[in-house]
Amino acid sequence: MKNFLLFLSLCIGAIQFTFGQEPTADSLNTGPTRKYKFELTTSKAAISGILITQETQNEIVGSMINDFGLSALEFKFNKKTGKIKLLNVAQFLNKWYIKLVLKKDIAVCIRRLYNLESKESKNYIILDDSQDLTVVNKKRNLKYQFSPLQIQGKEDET
Amino acid sequence: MKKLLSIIILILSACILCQAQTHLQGSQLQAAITKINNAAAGMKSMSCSFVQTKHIKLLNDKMVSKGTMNYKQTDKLRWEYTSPYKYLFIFNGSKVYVGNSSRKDVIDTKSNKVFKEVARIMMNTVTGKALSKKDDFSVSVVSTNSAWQVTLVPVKKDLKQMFSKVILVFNKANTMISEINIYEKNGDWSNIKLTGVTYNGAINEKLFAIP
Repeated sequence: MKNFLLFLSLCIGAIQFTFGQEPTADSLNTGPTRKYKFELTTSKAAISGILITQETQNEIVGSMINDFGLSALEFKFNKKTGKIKLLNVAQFLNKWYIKLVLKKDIAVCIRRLYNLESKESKNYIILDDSQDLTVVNKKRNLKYQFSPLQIQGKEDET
Repeated sequence: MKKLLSIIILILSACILCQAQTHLQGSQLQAAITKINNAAAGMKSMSCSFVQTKHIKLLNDKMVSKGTMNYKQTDKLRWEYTSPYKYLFIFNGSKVYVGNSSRKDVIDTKSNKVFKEVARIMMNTVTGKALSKKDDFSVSVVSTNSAWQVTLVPVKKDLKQMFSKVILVFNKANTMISEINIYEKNGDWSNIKLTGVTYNGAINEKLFAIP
Protein backbone atom coordinates (compact mmCIF):
# COMPACT_ATOMS: atom_id res chain seq x y z
CA MET A 1 0.00 0.00 0.00
CA LYS A 2 2.73 2.45 0.99
CA ASN A 3 4.76 1.65 -2.13
CA PHE A 4 1.68 2.15 -4.35
CA LEU A 5 0.96 5.56 -2.80
CA LEU A 6 4.60 6.59 -3.17
CA PHE A 7 4.46 5.56 -6.86
CA LEU A 8 1.23 7.56 -7.31
CA SER A 9 2.80 10.64 -5.73
CA LEU A 10 5.83 10.35 -8.00
CA CYS A 11 3.56 10.10 -11.05
CA ILE A 12 1.64 13.21 -10.07
CA GLY A 13 4.87 15.05 -9.35
CA ALA A 14 6.29 14.03 -12.74
CA ILE A 15 3.19 15.28 -14.54
CA GLN A 16 3.37 18.64 -12.76
CA PHE A 17 7.07 18.95 -13.61
CA THR A 18 6.46 18.12 -17.27
CA PHE A 19 3.66 20.62 -17.74
CA GLY A 20 4.99 23.25 -15.38
CA GLN A 21 5.72 26.54 -17.08
CA GLU A 22 9.34 27.52 -17.12
CA PRO A 23 9.95 31.22 -17.11
CA THR A 24 10.36 32.44 -20.67
CA ALA A 25 11.61 35.73 -21.96
CA ASP A 26 7.97 36.63 -22.62
CA SER A 27 6.84 36.03 -19.05
CA LEU A 28 9.58 38.31 -17.76
CA ASN A 29 7.70 41.34 -19.15
CA THR A 30 6.24 42.47 -15.85
CA GLY A 31 5.74 46.16 -16.60
CA PRO A 32 2.34 47.83 -16.43
CA THR A 33 0.04 46.97 -19.32
CA ARG A 34 -1.54 49.69 -21.45
CA LYS A 35 -4.44 49.23 -23.86
CA TYR A 36 -5.38 51.61 -26.64
CA LYS A 37 -8.03 51.63 -29.32
CA PHE A 38 -6.16 52.25 -32.55
CA GLU A 39 -7.02 53.03 -36.13
CA LEU A 40 -4.64 53.08 -39.07
CA THR A 41 -6.10 54.91 -42.05
CA THR A 42 -4.80 55.11 -45.58
CA SER A 43 -6.33 56.86 -48.56
CA LYS A 44 -8.08 53.61 -49.56
CA ALA A 45 -8.65 51.58 -46.42
CA ALA A 46 -8.49 51.43 -42.65
CA ILE A 47 -7.47 48.91 -40.02
CA SER A 48 -8.76 49.20 -36.50
CA GLY A 49 -8.24 47.23 -33.33
CA ILE A 50 -6.48 47.24 -29.99
CA LEU A 51 -2.86 48.01 -29.15
CA ILE A 52 -1.60 46.37 -25.95
CA THR A 53 1.82 47.30 -24.61
CA GLN A 54 4.05 46.45 -21.69
CA GLU A 55 7.11 48.38 -20.57
CA THR A 56 10.20 46.88 -19.01
CA GLN A 57 13.50 48.48 -18.07
CA ASN A 58 14.96 48.17 -21.57
CA GLU A 59 12.08 47.81 -23.95
CA ILE A 60 8.43 48.27 -24.78
CA VAL A 61 6.71 45.18 -26.09
CA GLY A 62 3.43 45.42 -27.96
CA SER A 63 0.74 43.52 -29.77
CA MET A 64 -1.70 45.00 -32.27
CA ILE A 65 -4.85 42.93 -32.70
CA ASN A 66 -7.85 43.59 -34.93
CA ASP A 67 -11.39 44.10 -33.69
CA PHE A 68 -12.10 40.39 -33.94
CA GLY A 69 -9.13 39.64 -31.68
CA LEU A 70 -6.83 38.27 -34.37
CA SER A 71 -3.20 39.37 -34.19
CA ALA A 72 -2.02 41.85 -36.84
CA LEU A 73 1.54 42.29 -35.65
CA GLU A 74 3.77 42.31 -32.58
CA PHE A 75 6.85 44.37 -31.84
CA LYS A 76 9.70 45.03 -29.44
CA PHE A 77 10.92 48.61 -29.11
CA ASN A 78 14.36 49.13 -27.59
CA LYS A 79 14.26 52.26 -25.45
CA LYS A 80 18.03 52.81 -25.57
CA THR A 81 18.63 52.40 -29.29
CA GLY A 82 15.19 53.58 -30.43
CA LYS A 83 15.06 50.62 -32.79
CA ILE A 84 12.01 48.47 -33.27
CA LYS A 85 11.72 44.83 -34.26
CA LEU A 86 8.51 43.56 -35.84
CA LEU A 87 7.37 40.04 -34.94
CA ASN A 88 4.65 37.72 -36.22
CA VAL A 89 3.37 40.10 -38.88
CA ALA A 90 0.06 39.11 -40.49
CA GLN A 91 0.30 38.01 -44.10
CA PHE A 92 -1.43 41.04 -45.59
CA LEU A 93 1.17 43.32 -43.92
CA ASN A 94 4.15 41.04 -44.41
CA LYS A 95 5.77 42.81 -47.36
CA TRP A 96 9.22 44.32 -46.96
CA TYR A 97 8.15 47.78 -48.13
CA ILE A 98 5.14 47.82 -45.77
CA LYS A 99 7.21 46.65 -42.80
CA LEU A 100 9.84 49.30 -43.53
CA VAL A 101 7.24 52.04 -43.18
CA LEU A 102 5.47 50.42 -40.21
CA LYS A 103 8.71 50.11 -38.25
CA LYS A 104 9.45 53.82 -38.52
CA ASP A 105 5.87 54.89 -37.90
CA ILE A 106 5.22 52.61 -34.93
CA ALA A 107 8.49 53.75 -33.34
CA VAL A 108 7.29 57.36 -33.61
CA CYS A 109 3.93 56.40 -32.07
CA ILE A 110 5.50 54.48 -29.17
CA ARG A 111 7.91 57.28 -28.37
CA ARG A 112 4.97 59.67 -28.17
CA LEU A 113 2.72 57.34 -26.18
CA TYR A 114 5.48 56.80 -23.64
CA ASN A 115 6.83 60.38 -23.65
CA LEU A 116 10.28 59.28 -24.76
CA GLU A 117 12.70 61.85 -26.11
CA SER A 118 12.78 62.04 -29.85
CA LYS A 119 13.36 64.29 -32.80
CA GLU A 120 10.73 63.47 -35.34
CA SER A 121 11.36 64.23 -38.96
CA LYS A 122 9.33 66.77 -40.86
CA ASN A 123 7.55 63.85 -42.49
CA TYR A 124 5.29 63.56 -39.46
CA ILE A 125 2.41 65.62 -38.11
CA ILE A 126 1.72 64.85 -34.47
CA LEU A 127 -1.42 65.84 -32.58
CA ASP A 128 -1.13 64.91 -28.93
CA ASP A 129 -3.63 65.95 -26.30
CA SER A 130 -3.81 64.50 -22.82
CA GLN A 131 -5.86 61.53 -23.97
CA ASP A 132 -5.61 60.85 -27.68
CA LEU A 133 -2.68 60.69 -30.06
CA THR A 134 -2.69 61.18 -33.83
CA VAL A 135 0.43 60.60 -35.90
CA VAL A 136 0.38 61.33 -39.61
CA ASN A 137 3.04 60.11 -42.02
CA LYS A 138 2.73 62.89 -44.62
CA LYS A 139 4.88 61.18 -47.21
CA ARG A 140 2.85 57.93 -47.21
CA ASN A 141 -0.49 59.48 -46.29
CA LEU A 142 -0.91 57.19 -43.29
CA LYS A 143 -2.76 58.26 -40.16
CA TYR A 144 -2.40 56.47 -36.81
CA GLN A 145 -4.89 57.28 -34.07
CA PHE A 146 -4.73 56.01 -30.50
CA SER A 147 -7.13 56.52 -27.62
CA PRO A 148 -6.90 54.85 -24.21
CA LEU A 149 -9.28 51.93 -23.89
CA GLN A 150 -11.71 52.41 -21.05
CA ILE A 151 -11.96 49.11 -19.22
CA GLN A 152 -15.10 49.00 -17.08
CA GLY A 153 -14.66 47.01 -13.93
CA LYS A 154 -12.22 44.14 -13.59
CA GLU A 155 -11.30 42.15 -16.64
CA ASP A 156 -12.08 38.56 -16.00
CA GLU A 157 -13.50 35.54 -17.68
CA THR A 158 -17.06 34.53 -16.91
CA MET B 1 -4.78 7.51 7.88
CA LYS B 2 -6.00 4.58 5.79
CA LYS B 3 -9.39 6.25 5.35
CA LEU B 4 -7.82 9.53 4.23
CA LEU B 5 -5.64 7.79 1.67
CA SER B 6 -8.61 5.82 0.34
CA ILE B 7 -10.58 9.05 -0.08
CA ILE B 8 -7.68 10.69 -1.93
CA ILE B 9 -7.42 7.76 -4.33
CA LEU B 10 -11.18 7.78 -4.93
CA ILE B 11 -11.14 11.51 -5.69
CA LEU B 12 -8.20 11.12 -8.07
CA SER B 13 -9.92 8.24 -9.84
CA ALA B 14 -13.14 10.24 -10.15
CA CYS B 15 -11.21 13.16 -11.63
CA ILE B 16 -9.58 10.89 -14.17
CA LEU B 17 -12.95 9.39 -15.16
CA CYS B 18 -14.56 12.84 -15.47
CA GLN B 19 -11.85 13.98 -17.85
CA ALA B 20 -11.98 10.79 -19.89
CA GLN B 21 -11.76 11.63 -23.54
CA THR B 22 -12.22 9.42 -26.55
CA HIS B 23 -10.82 10.26 -29.93
CA LEU B 24 -13.59 9.21 -32.29
CA GLN B 25 -12.79 7.29 -35.43
CA GLY B 26 -14.61 5.47 -38.20
CA SER B 27 -18.34 5.06 -37.75
CA GLN B 28 -18.36 6.78 -34.33
CA LEU B 29 -16.74 9.85 -35.84
CA GLN B 30 -19.19 9.90 -38.71
CA ALA B 31 -22.14 9.45 -36.33
CA ALA B 32 -21.06 12.44 -34.24
CA ILE B 33 -20.53 14.62 -37.33
CA THR B 34 -23.90 13.57 -38.72
CA LYS B 35 -25.65 14.47 -35.46
CA ILE B 36 -24.00 17.90 -35.39
CA ASN B 37 -24.72 18.49 -39.07
CA ASN B 38 -28.40 17.57 -38.63
CA ALA B 39 -28.70 19.97 -35.70
CA ALA B 40 -27.02 22.71 -37.75
CA ALA B 41 -29.33 22.11 -40.70
CA GLY B 42 -32.35 22.44 -38.44
CA MET B 43 -31.12 25.72 -36.96
CA LYS B 44 -33.16 28.52 -38.51
CA SER B 45 -31.91 31.21 -36.16
CA MET B 46 -29.62 31.70 -33.20
CA SER B 47 -29.06 34.50 -30.71
CA CYS B 48 -26.60 34.71 -27.86
CA SER B 49 -24.21 36.81 -25.87
CA PHE B 50 -20.54 36.00 -25.81
CA VAL B 51 -17.41 36.64 -23.78
CA GLN B 52 -14.17 36.53 -25.74
CA THR B 53 -10.87 36.13 -23.90
CA LYS B 54 -7.77 36.59 -26.02
CA HIS B 55 -4.59 35.16 -24.49
CA ILE B 56 -1.52 37.03 -25.77
CA LYS B 57 1.55 34.85 -25.49
CA LEU B 58 4.17 37.55 -26.05
CA LEU B 59 2.84 39.71 -23.25
CA ASN B 60 1.63 36.89 -21.01
CA ASP B 61 -1.59 38.88 -20.75
CA LYS B 62 -5.18 38.68 -21.89
CA MET B 63 -7.84 40.89 -23.40
CA VAL B 64 -11.51 40.35 -22.53
CA SER B 65 -14.30 41.63 -24.76
CA LYS B 66 -18.05 41.05 -24.75
CA GLY B 67 -20.79 41.19 -27.29
CA THR B 68 -23.81 39.64 -28.94
CA MET B 69 -24.37 37.44 -31.97
CA ASN B 70 -27.44 36.90 -34.13
CA TYR B 71 -27.78 34.45 -36.99
CA LYS B 72 -30.62 33.76 -39.37
CA GLN B 73 -30.69 31.06 -42.00
CA THR B 74 -29.26 31.06 -44.58
CA ASP B 75 -27.00 34.04 -44.88
CA LYS B 76 -27.60 36.64 -42.20
CA LEU B 77 -25.11 37.24 -39.43
CA ARG B 78 -24.67 40.05 -36.93
CA TRP B 79 -21.58 39.99 -34.70
CA GLU B 80 -21.35 42.94 -32.32
CA TYR B 81 -18.75 43.87 -29.73
CA THR B 82 -20.19 46.02 -26.96
CA SER B 83 -17.43 46.11 -24.37
CA PRO B 84 -14.80 47.48 -23.89
CA TYR B 85 -15.15 48.85 -27.42
CA LYS B 86 -17.93 49.10 -29.97
CA TYR B 87 -17.55 47.20 -33.23
CA LEU B 88 -20.25 45.88 -35.50
CA PHE B 89 -20.11 43.31 -38.32
CA ILE B 90 -23.23 42.57 -40.36
CA PHE B 91 -23.55 40.19 -43.28
CA ASN B 92 -26.92 40.05 -45.00
CA GLY B 93 -26.15 37.98 -48.06
CA SER B 94 -25.23 40.72 -50.50
CA LYS B 95 -23.49 43.29 -48.35
CA VAL B 96 -21.06 43.38 -45.45
CA TYR B 97 -21.06 46.24 -42.96
CA VAL B 98 -18.15 46.91 -40.59
CA GLY B 99 -18.22 49.88 -38.30
CA ASN B 100 -17.06 51.38 -35.06
CA SER B 101 -17.61 54.71 -33.36
CA SER B 102 -15.49 56.60 -35.87
CA ARG B 103 -15.67 54.73 -39.16
CA LYS B 104 -18.18 52.76 -41.21
CA ASP B 105 -17.68 50.73 -44.36
CA VAL B 106 -20.16 48.88 -46.54
CA ILE B 107 -18.76 46.28 -48.91
CA ASP B 108 -20.62 44.64 -51.77
CA THR B 109 -19.83 40.93 -51.55
CA LYS B 110 -20.29 40.49 -55.30
CA SER B 111 -17.23 42.61 -55.92
CA ASN B 112 -15.29 41.63 -52.82
CA LYS B 113 -15.25 37.89 -52.37
CA VAL B 114 -12.86 38.00 -49.42
CA PHE B 115 -15.47 39.47 -47.11
CA LYS B 116 -18.07 37.07 -48.37
CA GLU B 117 -15.73 34.19 -47.62
CA VAL B 118 -14.97 35.52 -44.12
CA ALA B 119 -18.68 35.85 -43.38
CA ARG B 120 -19.40 32.38 -44.74
CA ILE B 121 -16.75 30.80 -42.55
CA MET B 122 -17.96 32.71 -39.49
CA MET B 123 -21.52 31.49 -40.05
CA ASN B 124 -20.44 27.93 -40.69
CA THR B 125 -18.35 27.96 -37.52
CA VAL B 126 -21.04 29.22 -35.14
CA THR B 127 -23.70 26.94 -36.60
CA GLY B 128 -21.51 23.84 -36.87
CA LYS B 129 -21.85 23.56 -40.62
CA ALA B 130 -18.06 23.88 -40.91
CA LEU B 131 -17.75 20.18 -40.07
CA SER B 132 -19.08 19.21 -43.47
CA LYS B 133 -16.99 21.70 -45.43
CA LYS B 134 -14.06 19.48 -46.28
CA ASP B 135 -12.68 22.07 -48.68
CA ASP B 136 -12.20 24.42 -45.73
CA PHE B 137 -11.16 22.17 -42.84
CA SER B 138 -9.96 18.73 -41.85
CA VAL B 139 -12.04 17.51 -38.91
CA SER B 140 -11.32 15.43 -35.82
CA VAL B 141 -13.58 14.85 -32.83
CA VAL B 142 -12.93 14.06 -29.18
CA SER B 143 -15.87 12.88 -27.10
CA THR B 144 -16.13 13.63 -23.38
CA ASN B 145 -18.99 12.85 -21.01
CA SER B 146 -20.88 16.03 -21.80
CA ALA B 147 -19.48 17.38 -25.04
CA TRP B 148 -17.91 16.85 -28.42
CA GLN B 149 -14.72 18.79 -29.00
CA VAL B 150 -14.34 19.27 -32.72
CA THR B 151 -10.94 20.34 -34.03
CA LEU B 152 -10.94 22.11 -37.39
CA VAL B 153 -7.60 22.49 -39.12
CA PRO B 154 -7.69 24.84 -42.12
CA VAL B 155 -6.90 23.36 -45.50
CA LYS B 156 -6.74 26.49 -47.63
CA LYS B 157 -3.62 28.67 -47.61
CA ASP B 158 -5.40 31.95 -46.75
CA LEU B 159 -7.16 30.40 -43.77
CA LYS B 160 -3.93 28.75 -42.61
CA GLN B 161 -2.35 32.17 -42.44
CA MET B 162 -5.08 33.42 -40.11
CA PHE B 163 -5.11 30.59 -37.62
CA SER B 164 -3.61 27.15 -37.03
CA LYS B 165 -6.75 25.47 -35.71
CA VAL B 166 -10.21 26.09 -34.29
CA ILE B 167 -11.76 23.91 -31.58
CA LEU B 168 -15.55 23.96 -31.31
CA VAL B 169 -17.23 22.56 -28.22
CA PHE B 170 -20.72 21.13 -28.77
CA ASN B 171 -22.98 20.39 -25.85
CA LYS B 172 -24.20 16.79 -26.19
CA ALA B 173 -27.49 17.61 -24.45
CA ASN B 174 -28.71 19.79 -27.32
CA THR B 175 -26.02 19.26 -30.00
CA MET B 176 -25.36 22.99 -30.07
CA ILE B 177 -22.16 24.95 -29.89
CA SER B 178 -21.15 26.37 -26.52
CA GLU B 179 -17.53 27.43 -27.05
CA ILE B 180 -15.15 28.42 -29.80
CA ASN B 181 -11.37 28.32 -29.34
CA ILE B 182 -9.17 29.91 -32.00
CA TYR B 183 -5.45 29.15 -32.07
CA GLU B 184 -3.14 31.47 -33.98
CA LYS B 185 0.27 30.79 -35.45
CA ASN B 186 2.03 33.18 -33.06
CA GLY B 187 0.90 31.22 -30.01
CA ASP B 188 -2.05 33.46 -29.16
CA TRP B 189 -5.41 31.84 -28.60
CA SER B 190 -8.92 33.11 -28.04
CA ASN B 191 -11.75 31.50 -26.11
CA ILE B 192 -15.30 32.57 -26.99
CA LYS B 193 -17.97 31.39 -24.56
CA LEU B 194 -21.54 31.61 -25.79
CA THR B 195 -24.17 32.35 -23.15
CA GLY B 196 -27.93 32.88 -23.11
CA VAL B 197 -28.25 30.97 -26.36
CA THR B 198 -31.69 30.77 -27.97
CA TYR B 199 -32.43 28.74 -31.09
CA ASN B 200 -35.11 29.12 -33.73
CA GLY B 201 -36.66 32.11 -32.01
CA ALA B 202 -38.00 35.19 -33.75
CA ILE B 203 -35.28 37.67 -34.67
CA ASN B 204 -36.00 41.24 -35.69
CA GLU B 205 -34.96 41.65 -39.32
CA LYS B 206 -33.79 45.16 -38.51
CA LEU B 207 -30.78 43.64 -36.77
CA PHE B 208 -29.43 42.63 -40.17
CA ALA B 209 -30.23 45.88 -41.93
CA ILE B 210 -27.22 47.84 -43.12
CA PRO B 211 -27.05 51.08 -41.05
